[in-house]
Amino acid sequence: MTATPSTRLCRPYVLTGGRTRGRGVDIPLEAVALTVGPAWESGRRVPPEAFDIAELCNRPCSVAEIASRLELPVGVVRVLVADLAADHALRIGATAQADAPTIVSVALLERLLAGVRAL
Amino acid sequence: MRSELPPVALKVLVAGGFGVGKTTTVGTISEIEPLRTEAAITDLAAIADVSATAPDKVHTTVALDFGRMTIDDTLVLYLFGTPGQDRFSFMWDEIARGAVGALVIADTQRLACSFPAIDYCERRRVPFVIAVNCFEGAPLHDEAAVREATAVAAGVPILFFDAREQNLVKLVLTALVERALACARGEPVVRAS
Repeated sequence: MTATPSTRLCRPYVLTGGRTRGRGVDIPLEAVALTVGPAWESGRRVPPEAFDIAELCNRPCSVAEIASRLELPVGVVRVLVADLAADHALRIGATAQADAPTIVSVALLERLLAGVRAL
Repeated sequence: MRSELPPVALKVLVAGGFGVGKTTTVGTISEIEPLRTEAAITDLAAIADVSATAPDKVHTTVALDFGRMTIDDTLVLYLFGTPGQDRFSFMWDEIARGAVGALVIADTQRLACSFPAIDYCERRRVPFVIAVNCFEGAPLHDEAAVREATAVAAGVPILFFDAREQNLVKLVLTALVERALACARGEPVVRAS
């Protein structure tokens, strides 16, 4: 029997060892993760959910999508994704948050505008 | 090990009052079935905020609807529907950080429902457009009336659309990106006072 979220037998943060932050910076909801290497190479004990994330991210998938598809809390996904990235199992795509608090760069917006118009 | 890079991700907020068509808007333009996730309150300030406004209702998680648009191989846009109820407005900071801007969906029969979203965007300097959802037929008010009622800056576009029509949602989204670009190039987000 597999554990569905409603029958999960441990509290979500057990999966993260009680941590609310991964080994790195906070990852935005929209940041896209892509699996680039095996999740077990580091020798660290990895929870099964991390393997689920690594499998899901064989195709690019955002933090919000991972949380939704695996029915895990966003906070847990952030920690596990950060850990996987620190182990070089995942690569995390760029977002606008690193640049400025609210205004996205002109170059990125020009790319977006051209793209939206072409859809 | 794979060498490819994940795409750059941008996001827009889809804001507005409860039941104005935010989820419909996201669903119309999203390439995936809109997904729902539970986003947790992460900082103490947010908890303090909630406690001050709704002491009996301190929620630790809130549902968030979102959709996705692949722009090209290297750029993807996420649309996040903000929680409609006022007591969840603390969530907006998380979603607004680094956002391109906000589509403020309005219903002219209940224009005041969208005032908190407009106030939020102005206060946090988030570029926005007002998109009046006309799914019930002709709008009750014209653009001039909506502009007067909302008292937004002259540069803020006010558009009329139907949240169920993909072409119209695309036009509204295009107007938002144009507005965000104008703001990024120096146009003030709000009227200088």
